[in-house]
Formats: sequence, C-alpha cells, structure tokens
Amino acid sequence: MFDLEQAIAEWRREMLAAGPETPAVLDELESHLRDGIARRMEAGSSAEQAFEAAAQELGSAKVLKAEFAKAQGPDAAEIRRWAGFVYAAFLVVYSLLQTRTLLRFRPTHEEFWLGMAGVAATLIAAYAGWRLVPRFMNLMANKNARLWVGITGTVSLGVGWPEIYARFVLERFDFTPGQFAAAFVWAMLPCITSMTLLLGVDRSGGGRQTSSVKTG
Amino acid sequence: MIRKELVAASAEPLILSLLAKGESYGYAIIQEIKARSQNRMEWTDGMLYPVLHRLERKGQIKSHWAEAESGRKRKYYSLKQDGKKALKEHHEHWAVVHAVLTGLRKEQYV
Repeated sequence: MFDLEQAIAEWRREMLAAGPETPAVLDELESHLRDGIARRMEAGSSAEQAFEAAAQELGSAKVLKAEFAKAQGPDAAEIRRWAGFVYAAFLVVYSLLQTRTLLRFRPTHEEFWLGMAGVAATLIAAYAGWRLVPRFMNLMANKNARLWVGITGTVSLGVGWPEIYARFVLERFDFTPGQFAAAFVWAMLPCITSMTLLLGVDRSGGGRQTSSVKTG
Repeated sequence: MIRKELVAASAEPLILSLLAKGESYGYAIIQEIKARSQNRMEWTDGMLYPVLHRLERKGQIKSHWAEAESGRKRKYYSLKQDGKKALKEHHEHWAVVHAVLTGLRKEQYV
C-alpha cells in the first residue's frame, strides 16, 4: 500500500543528501511538490501516480542542486571557489613545512612516519571539516549565531588548544627531539581543522525553517 | 518551443511582471507562465526557486510564509520598490530588442 507521507519523507531525505543543502529551501520545494500532488489527485490520479509525476516535474536532486548553484551568481560561487583554493594551497604549504621541520629534528624511522601520519590525518580532517561544517552550520537559523560559533570555535581551537598543549601536555613528557616533532604535528591537527569552522559560515546557505510544511 | 537561453533570460522580467499584479507563490507562478505561453515556454519547476531566491537576495522581491486555504504553509513572494524599478528597466531593454528585431524584419521585406 502506497504511503504518500512516507514517500514525501523519503523524497525529502534524498534531497537533503544530494540536492539543495538548506532545509528552508527544502520546505519550499516540498510545498511545491504537495501542490503538484494535490492538483493531480483532484484531476483523478492516484496518490502514487500523482507523487511520481510531481516529483519528476520538480526535478532530481542533482538537477535542482545544479540550478541553485547557477543562480547563486558568479560572485558567491567565485568567493567559495577562491576560499577553497586558498585553503587547499595553505594545506599544501603547511604539509611541506611540517615535513621539513620533522626532518630537521632527525627523527627515527618510526618517529618520522608517526609525524607523517599526523600530516595525513590533518589533511583528512581538514577535508572532512570543509565538507561537513556547512551542513552543521545550516542547522542554525540565525546568521549571527553561525558566525559566533565559527569565530569562537576557530579561536578556541586555533589559539586555546596550543596554549593548553604547551602548558599541560608537553610538560608531562620528556620527549626526544624526534618525538617532540612528531607530537607537534599531531598537536596542530585541531588548529588547522578549526579554520573550516570559519570558512563554513560563509558556505552555509541559511537556516532551518522553524515550522515544517504541513500536509495538504 | 522557445529556446532554453531565451527562457532563462526572460525569467526575471516575467516573474517580476507577475508579482507586479500581486503576491504569489512558486507553483502558481509556474502554472500561470505555462498557461500564458500555452506551454511554449518550458519552465522547469526546479529552475524557478533559484531565480526567486536570487531576486530576493537582490532586494527586488520579498517573501513570507503564510497558511493557505488548504491549511498548508506556502511561501508567498511580492514585489519591492527596487523590483518595480528593475521591472521598468527590463521593459525598456526588451523594448529595445523588440524594436531592433522588428526593424530588421521589416527591412527584409523592403
């Protein structure tokens, strides 16, 4: 038995996963979908036929995402592209500098690879942060709240964490130079990744609609 | 069927023109365009909302959620002062294009 509400909920999940990222936009698209369904059902279609036709008319998640990307205009798209490019370039330079610093401390084979694993983990975490932070930010409707979270998160992790590390972690261990260099690479992971919080504020498109769309 | 590029270029002035008649929502806007063009302008449903959001960002239209007669919530759009100015400009620009095209067409038959 076809369940219209379940089909719409599933459509919404698919859209959220692969289509326009903001729930506020989805609320509006869902409203449109329901209008299309209602019109077709009034004309005599079954709920299933009406849903299929209305969803097809609205477009796939991929198509909708492309349409929204086009309409964001060259300015916003360009800023995002440049932010991504600058951050990627920064990560490349950072990785090279960390590798050079690591080698200067004449680490053992194990210490060197432990340090390189730290560089790799930092790059993976930075990529994950770049991809996921905008989605997290979209859960907050208020733009100022998103900015506040971005700034405090970046500052606390970028500045606060090195302070804690230097005062409370380093003092407890008697590192060899090679161990110190490898541990330093790992210690920098939260600092480098925290930048994605601030970069994610700009890339999030808006907040969640407080009231979701009702069934018609 | 009218070419895709022309449909895209005329989307903003058409939406502004429809909203100049009074507030409306996405589904109704699409239906009216389809009806007025006798389905010769192929507007995809997904294309409309990015354009509406862009016009809103530009400050030419505004929106609000309201409950429809069916009890469902809908997002309604209406024209702002900047939208009226933009619409006037669109009319002027399209009039120029139309005049040039008409003039050239007449010359072909001289």
